[in-house]
Amino acid sequence: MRATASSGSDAPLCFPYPAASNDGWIAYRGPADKAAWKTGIQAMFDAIELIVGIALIGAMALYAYACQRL
Amino acid sequence: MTILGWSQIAIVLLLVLAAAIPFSGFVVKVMAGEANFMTPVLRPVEIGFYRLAGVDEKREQSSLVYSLALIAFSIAGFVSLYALQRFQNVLPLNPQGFDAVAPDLAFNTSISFITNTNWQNYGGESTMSHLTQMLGLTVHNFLSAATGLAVAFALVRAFARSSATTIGNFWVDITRVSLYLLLPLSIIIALVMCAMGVPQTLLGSVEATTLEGAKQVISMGPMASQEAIKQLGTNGGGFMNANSAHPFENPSALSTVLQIFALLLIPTASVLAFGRAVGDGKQGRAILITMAIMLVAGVGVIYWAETYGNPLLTALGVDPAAGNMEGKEVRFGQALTALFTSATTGTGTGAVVAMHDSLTPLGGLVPLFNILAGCIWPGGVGAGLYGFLVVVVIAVFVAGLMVGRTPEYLGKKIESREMKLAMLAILIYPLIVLGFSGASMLLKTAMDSLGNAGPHGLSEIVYAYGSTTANNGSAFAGLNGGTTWFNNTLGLAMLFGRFAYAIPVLALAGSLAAKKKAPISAGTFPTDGPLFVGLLLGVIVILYLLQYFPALALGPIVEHFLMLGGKAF
Repeated sequence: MRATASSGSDAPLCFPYPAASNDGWIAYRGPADKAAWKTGIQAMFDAIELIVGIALIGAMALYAYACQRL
Repeated sequence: MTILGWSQIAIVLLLVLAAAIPFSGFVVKVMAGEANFMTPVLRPVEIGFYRLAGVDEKREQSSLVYSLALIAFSIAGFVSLYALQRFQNVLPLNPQGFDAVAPDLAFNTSISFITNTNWQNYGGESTMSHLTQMLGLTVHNFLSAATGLAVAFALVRAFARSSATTIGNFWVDITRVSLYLLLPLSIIIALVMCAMGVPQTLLGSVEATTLEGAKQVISMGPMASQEAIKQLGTNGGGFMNANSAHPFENPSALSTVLQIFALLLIPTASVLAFGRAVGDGKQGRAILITMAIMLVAGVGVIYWAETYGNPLLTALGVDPAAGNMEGKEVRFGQALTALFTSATTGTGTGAVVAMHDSLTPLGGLVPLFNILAGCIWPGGVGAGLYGFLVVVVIAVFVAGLMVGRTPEYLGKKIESREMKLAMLAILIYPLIVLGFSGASMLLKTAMDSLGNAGPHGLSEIVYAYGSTTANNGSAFAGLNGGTTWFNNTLGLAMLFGRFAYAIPVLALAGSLAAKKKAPISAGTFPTDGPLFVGLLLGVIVILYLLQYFPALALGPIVEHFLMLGGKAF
């Protein structure tokens, strides 16, 4: 069931990124553009969450193998 | 409490039992791949799926390969559901124009739905497009339930077979469960729900003018189809924010009866199917009686506590005749609310008709204990059966120790390896629940999410991690879970609660399947009678109270005494 009062859908980052900043991640790496840095970090975090999910479920394969060897 | 109330509870439970008995025979046939009355229609579809996916249905898998198939399937589900949420703003069927779902919320929701948890850190009607609801969430309501039953039947086959190297084929199992069990039942239940007034439309929302002249936006959508599998698959994720307390999702007391029936049907039938599949119906009945005792005891405590009411409210002049009605729907009443609350947490459903946060401390203790015990009476679809069979293995081992014989269950010797695997599965829950709860207590960012202080706040945090780890998904409410900390840690709790439990269970299945079945002798401990039921109840009480009594004592129990002393949180 629903857990909280906040929707969580109001995060600033959305896919695909707004056209103005949709010219590749390399464009976010200019130290002068604080907002671009923020967006870039968020995009990194976004990728990390997906990769962490895949890695953790995938790591269960090792756990399955270990259980067989127990 | 009234006779009428108990009569309602008894009638609903008898209806479930009356349907589950014949349905269990159908479940056995489906899982064995035997012909049934739907074979002429659905068999060509089933074969089509196998051809499309390149699956050889005759080729069974070892427990390791079965586990790997489960993992591969879950990764595919996780990635596709994550992507669907992140791209929903550019995909069709988004009439309300919702943005892409935030990354941490998409992570949490994806894990939540592939693990059959359906914990929702969002309001469905204000966050998810129709496409995400239908193609993502509803589809995973089917697939995650099918996965649970597949794992359960892998374990059932292990008990039924002798000296076997395989435990079934994962792809065949999830196809058969989805096609023969979940889809037809969902269609029937969805149609009945439509007849009862649950909306089924692709409209985004309608605008109404209230009596005061204000404009009100009323969310609509394909609810009946999601509602049916939400209960049948013991998923629990609502289309609407208020879940089954919302009049669109659950319009009346009669629709509540239907929802309770739907959420208990497959778990109950699965237990009876277990008895049939191992060739001894009494074994399934003994387990079901134990589950029923725990379930009904929970209903009794909630019903008593809630009708007794809250003395603090009585002191303020609130009429105590109706009991504690805070957070409840008048149209459902105390008895059905008590039954639904115990059933939704005794199974892995997690749908709610009342705010669990608003239950009295002892009333709230029951759903909290049910989820901390892993939602195994009668449990989620499949997950309840395999979760309870792990408890049975431990109970048999305890009995063996007491009488000084090698423990056996259904002719299978329970030895060191089986016990290690059973304990690996059992211990993962307290490790996650108590570990993350303890860590949250130390973090200001987590404590800031609490809606209440003191023991009630502790209950809110323990409940959140208990609910997600046991893949229940109901929320105690009062806790703002939509933060980076909770989105991520609750996501991890769901992930490990599902896979770190199911994988040792599959290894246990492989180990048991390889064993020879020993013939029944005079020294065999009977596992189908009242003595075994008593033993199971004793093991449940010892096992789970030892794990969680400190948390329960510091949460709802102390809150109860403080309430009697005049203090509320």
